[in-house]
Amino acid sequence: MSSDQLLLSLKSWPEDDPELKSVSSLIARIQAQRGHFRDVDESILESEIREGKGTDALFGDSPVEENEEGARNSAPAAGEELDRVTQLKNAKEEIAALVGHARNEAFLGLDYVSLLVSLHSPEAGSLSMSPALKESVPVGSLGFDKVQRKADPKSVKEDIAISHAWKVEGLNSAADTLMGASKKLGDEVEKEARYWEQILAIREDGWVVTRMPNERRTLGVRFGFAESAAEYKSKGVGALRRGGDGGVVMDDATTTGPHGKAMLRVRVLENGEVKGSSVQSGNKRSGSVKDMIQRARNFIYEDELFFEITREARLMADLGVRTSEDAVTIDLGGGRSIAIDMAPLDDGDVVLDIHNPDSNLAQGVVMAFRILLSYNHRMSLRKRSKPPPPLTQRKIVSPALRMVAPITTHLLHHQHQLNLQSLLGHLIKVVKSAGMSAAFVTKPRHNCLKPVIKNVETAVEAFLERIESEATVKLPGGWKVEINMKTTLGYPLYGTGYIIGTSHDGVSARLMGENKFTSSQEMEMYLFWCLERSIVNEVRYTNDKWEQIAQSNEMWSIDKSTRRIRISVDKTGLSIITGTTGGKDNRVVWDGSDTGRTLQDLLNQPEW
Amino acid sequence: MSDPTQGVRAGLQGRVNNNLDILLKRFESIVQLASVDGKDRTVTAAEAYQIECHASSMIRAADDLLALTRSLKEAWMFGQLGSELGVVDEATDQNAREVGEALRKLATKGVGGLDQ
Repeated sequence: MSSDQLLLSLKSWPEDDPELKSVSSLIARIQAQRGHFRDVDESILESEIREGKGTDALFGDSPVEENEEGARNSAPAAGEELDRVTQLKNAKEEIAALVGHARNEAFLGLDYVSLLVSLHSPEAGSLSMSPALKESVPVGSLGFDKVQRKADPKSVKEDIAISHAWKVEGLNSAADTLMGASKKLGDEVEKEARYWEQILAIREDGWVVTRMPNERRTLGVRFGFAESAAEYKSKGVGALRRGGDGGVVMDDATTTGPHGKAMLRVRVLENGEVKGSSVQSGNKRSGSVKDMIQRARNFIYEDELFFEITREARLMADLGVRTSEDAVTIDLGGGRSIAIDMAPLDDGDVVLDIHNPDSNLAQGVVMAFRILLSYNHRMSLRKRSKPPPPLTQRKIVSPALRMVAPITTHLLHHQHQLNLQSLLGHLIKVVKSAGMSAAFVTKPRHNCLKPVIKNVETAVEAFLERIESEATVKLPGGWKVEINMKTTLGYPLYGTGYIIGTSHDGVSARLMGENKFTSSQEMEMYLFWCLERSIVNEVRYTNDKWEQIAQSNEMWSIDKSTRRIRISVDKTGLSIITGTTGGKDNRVVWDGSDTGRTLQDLLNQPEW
Repeated sequence: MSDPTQGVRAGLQGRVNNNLDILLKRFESIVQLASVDGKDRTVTAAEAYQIECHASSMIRAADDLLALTRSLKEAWMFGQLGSELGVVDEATDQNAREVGEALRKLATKGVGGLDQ
């Protein structure tokens, strides 16, 4: 049989008879040959090997075969290599067999010990018993007993003493750990009880207690607002951690923000000087959890409010609203402005100065902002309750809330309305001081009267959007002037507009009907003009010696056409310039103060 | 059968029972092991160690019971608690109405009169 043929063979490697190599047969054969293992140990075998006796008996006849083969076949290199392969294979098999044998022995040992143990603790013993053993022998069937030594009374006594001591020690240490644990648990229970009591109190106060979104194990309280903008939605939860004594502890950063600026502040400025300021009350010092939650709630509301105000204010630069990093300024004209920013909470003893109208205004503006944000939250809820808009690729950016615009509208309108009111008051006073009759009545913000107020929304809506005021003025000479002023910060006015309607007999002036003005100066000029003409008319009615010259504000005397008067009205009041052709002009002024002389007195003067 | 909390309840009950069992059995074992009864020192040493094992097992069971009470409290709190968000107090609208009317009265208060 040549090696080439063997290498080319497609047959599988010839296998040894498994029976021949199996541990069980091996053990059986060894026992048959050498008797019980008890008598075999390393030294005996080694000495046998040294003596060369029975080598074949223990390990089969391989060395002999090898020798024989070597002798028979002083063959080529290939043959030797094959031998090496066989040798390795044999060695491997030998090792495997030995390992298997050892394993078997170990299992037998384990079975034996398990069986023994199962006598006293059946469940522990039976766990490690092999199924074969369990089948063949009942659990706990192997008994053992200690060989009764001739007990040394001294050692027995010692044993008992040691046993006692150990047991006592064991029991003591168990008792100690149990006591320690019980104390710890007791403390823990007490803390838990306190913690839960407070949590419950918080809940009964109406707060919503939830789990923290990113820490499932921690309880939190939801103080945010459901309809807040996305930026503020996730901020509205504060962790309620258990403090060292079991009390609820809240993070302070959530209650005042990182800079401690916790509340919206509105100040009324006049030429850069603070005239009035809102009050930032907020129970600053209290450390109770309820107050802290309240503070946190207030802070998040105010923070969102300011955020929305700046967002809207940036779009209103064309309307006199200026924004900087941390403040918004609304210009009211006349050097007055309103500054809005975030400020720290006041100390508890600061109260609003109710006698200062500017402080009242500031406080009112702050209040209005808060109401408007709440109103916007309601609107957002209403919007969410409706079917959503169709899906689009574009990201939908929510429009800025409308808070600064309505408030600015009101402030401007109020300002203009006050101006108008004082102007009219002044004119009436002037006219009266000149001995004529005049009156005016205003109906401020009359369009706010229309909507029926049913709930929060309608209550707020009544004051949003455009504002209109009306004033009716009765001037001398049967003139009646109706002023309608409107303020809106949108198209078409972007401010305040006036519509003035005049009704009169049309003798002293042709211009009648409605005139529109978009600035208060124009409106003022027009009112002056009206008053001039109405006085002309009044003179015409009451004094038949005077005649108007070509619908102007000048009149001449019918008796003597060189005698003339010119009636003019301006900011200071009514002035009558009297004179004759070629003579010196004389000026008489009624500025509202009582001069003791009326226009009629002047006209009826025989000479000047 | 259709009660979905059935499983949860059974689970919780099982946990309580299991922990109670542990407490009782381990204590029983400690008592059993307490006697010296002529055992020699090796056995005693092993038994003393077992006593401590039982003790820590009892502590663990008690800890677990405490944890159970906490999760019960949480379950109770979150189970009962429907979301109270979005509930609008009726009184708010009533207040708004009154404040709105008052404000309107104040804001539209006229000045002057034509009969002067």
